[in-house]
Amino acid sequence: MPQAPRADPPIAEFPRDAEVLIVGAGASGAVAAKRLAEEGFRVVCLEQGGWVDHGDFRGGYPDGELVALKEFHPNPNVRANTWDYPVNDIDSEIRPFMYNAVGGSTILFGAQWMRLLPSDFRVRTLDGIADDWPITYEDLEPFYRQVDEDFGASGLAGNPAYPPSPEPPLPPLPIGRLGYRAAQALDRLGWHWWPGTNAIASRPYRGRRPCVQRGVCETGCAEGAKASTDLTHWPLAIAAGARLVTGARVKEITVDERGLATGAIFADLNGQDHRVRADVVLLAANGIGTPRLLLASQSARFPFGLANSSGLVGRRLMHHPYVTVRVVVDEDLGTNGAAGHALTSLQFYETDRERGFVRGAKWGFYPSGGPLAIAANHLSGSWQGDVRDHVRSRLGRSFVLSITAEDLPDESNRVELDSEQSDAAGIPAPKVTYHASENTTAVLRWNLAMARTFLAAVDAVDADVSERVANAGWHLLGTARMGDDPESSVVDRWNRAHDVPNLLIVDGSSFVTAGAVNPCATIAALSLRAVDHLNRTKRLITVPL
Amino acid sequence: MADSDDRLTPDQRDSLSSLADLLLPRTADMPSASEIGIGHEQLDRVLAARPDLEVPLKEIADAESRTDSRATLELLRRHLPRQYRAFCEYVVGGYFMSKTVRGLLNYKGQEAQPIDVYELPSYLEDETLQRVVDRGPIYRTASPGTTDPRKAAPKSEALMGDPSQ
Repeated sequence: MPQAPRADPPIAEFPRDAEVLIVGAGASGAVAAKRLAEEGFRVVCLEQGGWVDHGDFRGGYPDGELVALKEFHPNPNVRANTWDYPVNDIDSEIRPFMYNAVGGSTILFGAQWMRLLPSDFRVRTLDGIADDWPITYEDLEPFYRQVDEDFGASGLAGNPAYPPSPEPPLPPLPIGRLGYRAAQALDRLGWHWWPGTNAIASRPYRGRRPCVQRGVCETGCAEGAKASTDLTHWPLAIAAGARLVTGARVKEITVDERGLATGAIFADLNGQDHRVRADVVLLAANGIGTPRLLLASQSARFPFGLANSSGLVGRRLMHHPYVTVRVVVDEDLGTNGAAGHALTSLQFYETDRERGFVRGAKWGFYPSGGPLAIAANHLSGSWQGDVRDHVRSRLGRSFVLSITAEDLPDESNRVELDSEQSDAAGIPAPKVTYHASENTTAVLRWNLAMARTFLAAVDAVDADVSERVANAGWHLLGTARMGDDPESSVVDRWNRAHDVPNLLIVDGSSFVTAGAVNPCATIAALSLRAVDHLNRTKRLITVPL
Repeated sequence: MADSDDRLTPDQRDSLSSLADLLLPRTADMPSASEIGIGHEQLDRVLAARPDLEVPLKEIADAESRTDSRATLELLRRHLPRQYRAFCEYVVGGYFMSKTVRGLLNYKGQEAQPIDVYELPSYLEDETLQRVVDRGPIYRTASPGTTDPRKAAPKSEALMGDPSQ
């Protein structure tokens, strides 16, 4: 079982001063901490969770799926650990996911490691909707390369859905018989597919063991093959001098009379408040935690929350709504195991207006999982027929096609402070309001029709088609968007808050649009780009003295 | 951890077994829930993994003792979705954790399958992937001064050289 975080370091040894204070030890915080510590900055990171013992992961044990429905569930409301915070999602069609620990949500992510496409940065220009990013794919490409190395991406260069790029550092994971069967069907249709790129080691890599394809990535990787940043980044960051404080709930970013960030107030595990002074503050608390903290950091100078002169903090929340098709075939493909996404298809990613909507979807192909994954509908109460027949017909003989739609920004989809709920430290909980747009719904509907064509091509004998999945809030994006205009964005092209020159937001909050691919590689690349710029311009930044 | 006997009384265990058999009765080729010990050793295994289920399962067992099993199950299904879900997780989770059941399904769990680093992917060997490459780029670009790669569509390089080399 996951253990409650310890006060680490002991309270008496808490650091009180930093050049750069980072809030959140997940993907973006870890990337920033490592780079800045290696550049010689005095870095302190505050993380409300603790270190996860990978020996606690149960995926390889008979009770693994059952444990994953509670202790390692990605929904903090389900886990309800004392070190989580509740999320009021009653007005959200999608339930937000996150994991609060060193490594953050990379502890439980699927490790699908995909870049945004060039068109994703130019949605307004190309499709006349949403907004362009102030940066391009080419601006981010060098940082994609670096995070590929740092996370140990396994994949194959040459994907014609992308501009040319170097080989990832590791060869692709096997696509298995499921991937090959799906690839053959896509080939017959003349549709795009490519072996999945995953942040999972296919070979020994920088001290990590290679994947053994148990197919339990999303309940924690006991092998240490998956690139969670508690393995890939934090040991290096700490060795370079970064100080990581666990069990630290940040209540407020403090500011001075000039409107500059001066550090943070955080509560320890006993509820006692502490203050850390910093020259620069980086927020890396995810697309819900970061706006929550900004909105909670109200002052006479910032009465509507910090960095919120645009009114956009917490607005434009984007997810990646998806539907799934469990494809049942007439042979045992051994699909309860394997890892990551076996392959992807971006055949329907780019806009084709003849389809009746703009933007598109990513198709991903995954193993079936174990009995409880197959029996998910039975567990949720929609018990129809004998679950044993259902499981027997699908265990090892099915795979999952997941169709992920691009979600467009909408200011009515938002994160606010809840007026009633709060966490153990008394910090108001976030309240999330989210409804998928008509365009998103149309993307999914049209792609489901195409999935039926695929089912015929793959000679499926049966299929379970889901409604839009509610337990789908893996990707929390857009709630402090990037842009050049302070009136219509929260951070600039270098992830600096327009209103607060020494405050950076380096997590998925800064996304302008969401694309339809898994965002972790982009979150990591953006964070690296932001701190690379911070390092190069540090003398130009106005900081408290 | 509390001893299993402290958790539920024999009567509560029997009640849960009776309820579970309504969901998973014996069939021609599969045992019933009670036959694989759903109220006993499997219940203990479930509660060891999911101690949070103890309270709802006790409540369900006590409710069953006050009325008949079918009525209790119907009450759960129609009016108590959270408790019903807890019950389903216990029954289905406990059932598929059973060695007997796994043997009948020929399911060995989420086993390790180490990667064969010398295996050449079939998609390279039979050139399935090469055909994807040969169809050319499918991405759009909007960078000033660049040509849409889908229109330029240069013939792609071979993915790899002769595998025998």
